[in-house]
Amino acid sequence: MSNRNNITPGEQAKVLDNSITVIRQQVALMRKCLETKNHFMDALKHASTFLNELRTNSLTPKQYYELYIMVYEGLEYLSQDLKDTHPNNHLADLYELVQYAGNIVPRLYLMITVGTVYMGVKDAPVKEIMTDMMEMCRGVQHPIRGLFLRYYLSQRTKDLLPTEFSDPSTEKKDELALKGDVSDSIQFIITNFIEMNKLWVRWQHQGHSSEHRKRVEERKELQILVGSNLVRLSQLDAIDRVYYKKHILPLILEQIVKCRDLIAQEYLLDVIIQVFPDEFHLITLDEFFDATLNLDPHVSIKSIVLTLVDRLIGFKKREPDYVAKVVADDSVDIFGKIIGFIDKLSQLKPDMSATDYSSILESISKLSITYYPDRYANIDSIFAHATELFKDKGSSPELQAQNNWKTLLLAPISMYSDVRSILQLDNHYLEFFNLQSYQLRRSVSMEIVEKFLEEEVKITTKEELDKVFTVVQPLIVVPEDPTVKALKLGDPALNSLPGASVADTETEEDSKDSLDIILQQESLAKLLQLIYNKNPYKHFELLEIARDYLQPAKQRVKYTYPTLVAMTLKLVRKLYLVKHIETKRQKNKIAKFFTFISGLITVMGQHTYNAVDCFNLNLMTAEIADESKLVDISYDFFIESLVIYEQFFVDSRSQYQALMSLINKLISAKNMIQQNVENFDRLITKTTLYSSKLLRKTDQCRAVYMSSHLWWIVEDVDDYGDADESEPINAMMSHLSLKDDGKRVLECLQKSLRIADSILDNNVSLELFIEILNQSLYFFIHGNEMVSVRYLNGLIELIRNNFKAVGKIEGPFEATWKHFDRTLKYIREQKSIDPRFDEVNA
Amino acid sequence: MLVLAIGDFHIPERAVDIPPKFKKLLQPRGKIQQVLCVGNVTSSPSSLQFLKSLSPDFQMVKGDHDKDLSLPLSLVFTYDKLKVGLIDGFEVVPKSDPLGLLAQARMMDVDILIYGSTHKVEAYTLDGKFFINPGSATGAFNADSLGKEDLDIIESILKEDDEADDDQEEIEGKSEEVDKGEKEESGKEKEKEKEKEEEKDKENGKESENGEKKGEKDVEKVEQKTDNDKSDNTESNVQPDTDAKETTTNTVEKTDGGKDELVDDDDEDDKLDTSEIEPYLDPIPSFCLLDLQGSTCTLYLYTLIDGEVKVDKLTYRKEESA
Repeated sequence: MSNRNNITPGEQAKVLDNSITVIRQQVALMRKCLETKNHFMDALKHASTFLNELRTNSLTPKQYYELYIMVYEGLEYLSQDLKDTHPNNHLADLYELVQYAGNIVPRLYLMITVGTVYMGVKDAPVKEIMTDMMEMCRGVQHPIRGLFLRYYLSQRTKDLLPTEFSDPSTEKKDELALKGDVSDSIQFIITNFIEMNKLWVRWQHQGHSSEHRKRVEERKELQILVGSNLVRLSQLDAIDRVYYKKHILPLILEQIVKCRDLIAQEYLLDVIIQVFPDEFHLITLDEFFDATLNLDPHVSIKSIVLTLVDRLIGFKKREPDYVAKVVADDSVDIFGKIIGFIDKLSQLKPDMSATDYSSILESISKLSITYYPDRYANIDSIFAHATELFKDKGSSPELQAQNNWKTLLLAPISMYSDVRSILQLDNHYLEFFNLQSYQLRRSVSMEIVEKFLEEEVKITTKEELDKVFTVVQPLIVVPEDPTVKALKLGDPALNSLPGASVADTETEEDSKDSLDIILQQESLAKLLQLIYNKNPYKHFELLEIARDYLQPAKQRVKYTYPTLVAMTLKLVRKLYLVKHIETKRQKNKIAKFFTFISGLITVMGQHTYNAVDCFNLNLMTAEIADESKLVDISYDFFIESLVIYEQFFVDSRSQYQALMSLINKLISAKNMIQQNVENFDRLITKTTLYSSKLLRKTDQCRAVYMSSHLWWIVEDVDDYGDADESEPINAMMSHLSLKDDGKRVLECLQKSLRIADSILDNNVSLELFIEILNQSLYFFIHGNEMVSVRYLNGLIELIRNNFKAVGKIEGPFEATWKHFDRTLKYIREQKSIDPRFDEVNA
Repeated sequence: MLVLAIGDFHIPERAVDIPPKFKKLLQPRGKIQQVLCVGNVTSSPSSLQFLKSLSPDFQMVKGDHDKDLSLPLSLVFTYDKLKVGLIDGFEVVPKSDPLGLLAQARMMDVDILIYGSTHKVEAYTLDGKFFINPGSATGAFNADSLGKEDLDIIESILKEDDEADDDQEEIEGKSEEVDKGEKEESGKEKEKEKEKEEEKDKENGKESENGEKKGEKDVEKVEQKTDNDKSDNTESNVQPDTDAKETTTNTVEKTDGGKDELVDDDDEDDKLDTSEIEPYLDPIPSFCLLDLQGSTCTLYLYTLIDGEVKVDKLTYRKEESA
């Protein structure tokens, strides 16, 4: 017989082709004989001939499988014919007869074909035939031929094995001996499994050691033949979990352990996990883990445990009620068994890689959270193991890179349905967390924050807040980046450039923080917004605690303190709305809120580049204080913003914009106007003064005419419901005048006119004239008698004359003229609805 | 031309994110051809990135809280027969005053002025010009005083609580119908013009333009959603300023006396629970889509009310100058 080792792939292909031709021919001939009367013996001869092809030694397992399929189909015809045409007694004879075939492979295939037809006949000695066939199969010990032969045995007997347990009370003993019951089937399948496994393992050791890898591949191709026995077992409905635990699993595991073969062990344990029902696994964890500890040292225990755990986690999803029952009555201490296994594992397998070990811990923590979501102690003990492991092996750089610790730390975060559960994790989780590198802690902190934000979980108690800040600590205190420091030291001039504007300082300081840091501070600021308590006073206490935690961030509080300010202001508004800022005691209490805010802004203000933020925050606070009728507090905050303006605003653009914000906020300070007009006047006088001091004349002119609004303030009041719609609109009816210093308004307008007039560029001063005219119209409509028809006409006249002086309207003047034209058109339109406009010369 | 008007995020100082339901509507590289942003978005790099992902044509002006001084304070765009101006609004004095805005629009020579800063979504026609405030897309807290409607609602909630506290006490209440829409002297004019526009809108309802169709689908979709959820609707249904219907609210006149002299001590403070008024404290999250065709602007106001997206449609047509 040719040896497969010295045969080329080309030759193998030829052998295969040849065999295929023979089988095809012989099957055809056999079928012809079967169809003809009295040619049965010839049919058997043809069958025997094509079966001979399975004796080959030259083919790969895949090629052999191809032949097997053809042969199986051929034998199917034979089997069918036997069933159709042969009486019972004849089959018994035939079973004996085929044993005389010359070669063992054809003989056994024929025997199984006849034997299995015989098994299907009424009153056949099933058990005897099963035993006999199993015994005879031992005759083939070549791995491939033996595996396929036994696979044939398994396929043929598939629907013929007894599937029920015998009932001793009803069935006769001799009948049982003759037919057998499901326990015989189990024994039959397990024996076949054991024998096939041996053959399969042996294939690894055939041939030259240089072909090791090829063997491994071939074995993987063959594995399904062995595994099919376990599938067959799992399909026997008569087996329950107790029987499985007692009579089946030990035998299978024994074989798996004993075979000492890496491929077999990994594959077969996987098959066990996949094919047997979940509830079987739940009660056989001990057996399974014991076997796992006794495997070939190279077997990946990690993959086996992960597969099992996944299966169990899936079980909870598939059968939540069943699992809940098991967990509730504590009949199986799943977690205890697993942690026991982990203990043994760390003792017995000290060489196991930390990566595998941490993956196992990760999957087990997921299992624990799935089965016992409330038992935080479980997670704690898992992280106790992790801590130990880390102290032991954690510093290996290979591991740091693999990010295994991160996924381990994130396992609870991803599994808990309520992210707040991670706040219950104590001691060892935090100990393990704190052992990690800054980078890793930071990214875990970010994930936790993201999760909180995603689920919009409110943080409502001090305890929760403390815990949250423990896990986000890495976002607050950021280690200095040595490179940045070096850069700053290297160029000290950069910070002290004379005349550096607010804007320049700002961008320079901003660029100091990398995008990473900005993003993480942004997350932190968002996290703060989850702090909530339905009671504003308690809410405020939480904000104070948050401030204490944030303080160590030093200059980076600029990212988070504005959030605290806004949140506190919202609380003030709430308290005002529910009328909790009325008594003296209440006012004293609310004063603390403002002290808190003032403290926050002061800390931010220690860095000049925060000037714009501080200015805005002071204005916001002043506005809310005024809304709450705390006009003196409001005044203080306005003053603070003025101080910042004076000290830090050097860029003319930022000055102008700051003044616009300031003017608008002052206009909205309605309560101060009514309750402490002296203070208010001080503020608006100062603001008007600032306006007139702006560097660029255009800015100065605009700021001054905008300041005019500070002296003429009206409040919206509701229209009276019964007002007749057809009545002409009277401006005074829907507005309450809070400040009506018409004279000061006029002064501002006049002053801005003078500034505009002093500008050398004719077009610019014309444009400003027109803008002043538009402002004047506002006051005219609002009934400021100092801005009279005469005044308007004078202004219009002035603009007209200036345009005349320019001569031809072209170039830049065109746009200015159009603005004027639009303004005049507006005035003409007003005439139709407001008679006061009649005299205006538009 | 489909233009998105949006802004006043104030992330992360005052808001966490744009509502997820808005994010679903605003898909990167969708049909939006240009994004006009009224500012106050720059402190969150990711949010800015999000806006820029919506359209390659992203334009923004500087908000009062944006620190980048290189950003322009105002921008003007011309689309066919319409000129649109974009400002934050903090530099209009008094802020959001209709006459102030009108002067601003005249100065910029625009037909449509988009402004922000107040966090109150609104749109109206005044003196032949269209004024649009897309509001705050995040519904961010604003220190400017609350609107009358919100204050009324809060007042009535607190009143109910008081009544529940003490059934015995009779509150002398007089219901008064208050017209919410009309606040400024120009309020009526605004309202009338708006109504006119709406009537025109109805008349032209059959005109089907491409962009409009798309928009209408959106409206339908969203409205169906709200219908399904009707069971959830409570009496606390807030309408945005721009709601076309004239809604009336019952306000109970304040009673004086006893009530205010509550037991004034720390125990009382500890028991305080303000969760009921919570939903009315923050502005309604909102943004706008403008469909600009020739001399017509169809405006879709998107608001998030009680967790549902609501869409209101307004049409503005520029008057052809003789």
